[in-house]
Amino acid sequence: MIIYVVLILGLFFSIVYAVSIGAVEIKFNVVIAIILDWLGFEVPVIWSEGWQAIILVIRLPRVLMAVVIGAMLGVAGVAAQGLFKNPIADPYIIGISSAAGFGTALMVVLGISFFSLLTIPLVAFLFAILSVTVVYKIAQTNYRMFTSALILSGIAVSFFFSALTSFILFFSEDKAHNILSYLMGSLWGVSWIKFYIVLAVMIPCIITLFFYGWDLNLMVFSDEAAQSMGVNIEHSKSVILVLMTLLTATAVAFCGTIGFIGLIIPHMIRLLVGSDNRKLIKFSAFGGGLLLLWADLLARTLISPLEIPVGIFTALMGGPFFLYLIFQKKKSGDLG
Amino acid sequence: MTIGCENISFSYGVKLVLDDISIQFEKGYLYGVLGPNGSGKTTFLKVLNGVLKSKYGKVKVDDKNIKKLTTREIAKKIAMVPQSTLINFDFFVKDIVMMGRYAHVGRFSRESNEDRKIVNEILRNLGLVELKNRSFKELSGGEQQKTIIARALAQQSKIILLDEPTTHLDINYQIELMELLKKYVKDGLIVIIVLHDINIATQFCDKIILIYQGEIKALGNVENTITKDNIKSIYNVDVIIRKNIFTNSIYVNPIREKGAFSLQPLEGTDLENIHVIAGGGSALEILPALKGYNVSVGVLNVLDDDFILANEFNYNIISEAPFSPISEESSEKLRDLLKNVDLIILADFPFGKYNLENLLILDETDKEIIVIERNPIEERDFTDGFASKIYNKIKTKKNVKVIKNFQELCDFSLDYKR
Repeated sequence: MIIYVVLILGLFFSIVYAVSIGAVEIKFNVVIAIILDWLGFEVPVIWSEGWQAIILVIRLPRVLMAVVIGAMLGVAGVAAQGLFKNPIADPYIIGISSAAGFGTALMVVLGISFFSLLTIPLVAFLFAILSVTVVYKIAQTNYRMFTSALILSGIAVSFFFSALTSFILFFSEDKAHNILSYLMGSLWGVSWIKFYIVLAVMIPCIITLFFYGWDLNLMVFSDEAAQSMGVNIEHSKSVILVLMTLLTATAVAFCGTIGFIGLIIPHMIRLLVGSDNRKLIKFSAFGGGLLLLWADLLARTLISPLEIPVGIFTALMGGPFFLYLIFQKKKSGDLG
Repeated sequence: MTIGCENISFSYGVKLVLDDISIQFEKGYLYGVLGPNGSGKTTFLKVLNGVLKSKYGKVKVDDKNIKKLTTREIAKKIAMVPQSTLINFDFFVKDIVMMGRYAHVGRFSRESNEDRKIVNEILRNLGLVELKNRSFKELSGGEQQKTIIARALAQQSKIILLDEPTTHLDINYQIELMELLKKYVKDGLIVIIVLHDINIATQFCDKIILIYQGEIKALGNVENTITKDNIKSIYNVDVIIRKNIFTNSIYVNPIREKGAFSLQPLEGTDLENIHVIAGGGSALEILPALKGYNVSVGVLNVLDDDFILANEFNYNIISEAPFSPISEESSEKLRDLLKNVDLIILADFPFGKYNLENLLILDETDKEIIVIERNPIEERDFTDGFASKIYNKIKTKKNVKVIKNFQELCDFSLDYKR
């Protein structure tokens, strides 16, 4: 129980801190007051309208978005590693990110982003879903889904879309920067409407996935062994794959390819709480949220006013961490 | 609680793996499934627990078609222990055993105290209590397999299928596991176990199912199924089947057709008739190597190991009743026989007064003799030195060659050609 209180308090103060930092520094207590006021509480503090706008219109949705996207990617990583029975799998492995990236690049280069702010995310999402559907169909035979085929065809589809994206990039000249900043993943331009959409996907997906946590535990064994223990394996695999795809595709559609969170968060949390996926899902949501919040804070403040795409940041953290894991495995003689 | 299958056939793609198999399993028996690699044993188990769906025929559990049951319902009736278990994520032993409760716990509820009680009891019964907080990956192969069996037992199903669970285990764990299964069978479970070690099967199983090329070759009691002919037709090896006097079960010994060495008949030689004087199993390696020659053996007591093996090869044997001395009649037979042999091999067996006659007759002949001497005669002389005296005298003769191991025997056969 205590751990949840600590986590929620930690998350709350991280949010408040992140919101207070920026080009305009706003005092901590004012930030809390504005947020409490926004939540409907009466607060005896006075602040300027400008501060309120900075916080409620610009910073708060962005910070909350970071938390939600981080949580989604963390949980999707748990699902991917469990589903593929592989601790180095991540949610991007089956081509979701490159398909969404291609969708975005296509939209940007065609200049169709003007109908609505949601056009690009929608198209990116559809491409992600399309690619997973294709990959899934390839991996599916009439009586089961082969996860190894899923990964292989995912990699193939992934390369295909990456190549198409590169092709577009090569000929897009002035728009290349826009495309690149998306591909690297960034939380720039978040609005409340985007946040609510993402939140509306996240909550049911994570809750449902939580109830498939024990299935994921049993999937540590071979499919046939899990089935002999009562897991309706094809059903469970499909549900988990769909949830993982929804979480990842939504995150990527709105914020681009933010790498490594789906890989390192499940790893780190596993070191802390063990392999039980029910715990992993809960704590990876918190862990992913916190990690992306802090990474984004650094990304937008480190060389401000310039902003580094947060995906570069997470990758910079993730690379060394991955090497650390490999060295750990090497030490324990577990590298095969 | 019943399980059986009617006319099931199964194929992977176009390859027919199971061909029209029907069996009704009965409560209180330990069933051993035997057959060579690729004969369909594992597929058979997977069809039985519904992991694979057979296109033709049906598997019936408690008189219900298994295809009509949900995976959870099946898991409550049938548990499965695979050959080995590799996992990529580590879990505590107690957590792994608790996974066996999956089918009993609803998706939206958590494991109850009742589930914990059941798991703890199983851990106690299998002697896993001390390991329950250890991580699975740290365990030895035997301990891991025991954990997986505990997991299967936690399903509280009345039918347990095991797929070569002893393959990677040391002999002590094999025995422990089989004893454990016997106990559960006595408590009224049906246990069906795929084994590759025939002798483990004959020792512990109540019924044997021999599967070959997807068909049931034999089904029934151990004595009726594990026969020389069945083993020959399924595994294509010659075996000797004997009763183990300690366990009162039969055991199977393969005959080494091409053993440590072999003596091939040489072209253009007149080496044709070979006589072997042996006893007490001293010629077990020699007799198979002589296949192809016209071999005679004796004088031997019936039921001597050498007798049994010579009999398998249909060699000509001069024999005596068990534990009786060599009679006049046998002596005469041996003298007659030796007149027509090209080569006599004397194996290094112990001499007592019962078999001393062999040595005396050997002394009379001037045929080529090979004396095999892996141990000195003094160590195997139980005639107060009398046998040694004759033996040493024979060794000095011109027609006698003494060899210390079997390789020399092969070399000799080459010499003989010259």
